[in-house]
Amino acid sequence: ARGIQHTAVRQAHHKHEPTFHDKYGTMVLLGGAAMFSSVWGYVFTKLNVEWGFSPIGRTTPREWRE
Amino acid sequence: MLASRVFSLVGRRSISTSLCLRAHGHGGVVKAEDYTLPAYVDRRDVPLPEVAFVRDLSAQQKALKEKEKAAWSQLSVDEKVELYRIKFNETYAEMNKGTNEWKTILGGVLLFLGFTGVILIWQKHFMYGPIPHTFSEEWVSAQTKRMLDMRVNPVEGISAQWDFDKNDWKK
Repeated sequence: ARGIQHTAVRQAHHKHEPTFHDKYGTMVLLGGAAMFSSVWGYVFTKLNVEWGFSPIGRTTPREWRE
Repeated sequence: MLASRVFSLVGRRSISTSLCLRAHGHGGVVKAEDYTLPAYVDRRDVPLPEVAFVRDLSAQQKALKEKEKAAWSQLSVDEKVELYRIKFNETYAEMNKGTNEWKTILGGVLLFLGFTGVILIWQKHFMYGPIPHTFSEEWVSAQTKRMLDMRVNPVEGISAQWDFDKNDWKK
């Protein structure tokens, strides 16, 4: 119930304690961004996954007849 | 008379303990639960909530409410603020204040998307076999020339992207 008795002095009400987001928000954001960019940077460059990109504009056609 | 008969039943029959306690404690009347009473709410579109924020006043606060009944010019600024805080929880400014929640949300989203990438890494390492030789650079280039020689998809596809006069991809 909201009608909790505030017996404390008036000043006590105005201290709004920092929330989780105030304390750790920036850290979580930067950590997440770092993890994301490092993992996907690795996936796209080093992992040698065949993404199947189109040859158009990418390959130079080579003679195939023997 | 009927009501008294009901209340005597309340005393005799076995019902929940809390209800029994309340029935005995308040002369047979069940105390109204908090959720049944009008509630206080901090909302932008409800400027004057149904009840004051502070329900049970301390002695200090009760004295202040008495003083409020006299001329308001006699109240100090601090007392006026205290009266406000008795009636309201947050000011509009406090209500509308933004938070840093977006940082946690975005950070969490990126974290889990990064975890998706970890799954891909695992798959490549443990699950997929070697890439077929038909994906090698030499095979694909030969394959592409053969497709162009055959005029594969000349309308909108690969042959339409190749300039046969200049012998290069269309820009």
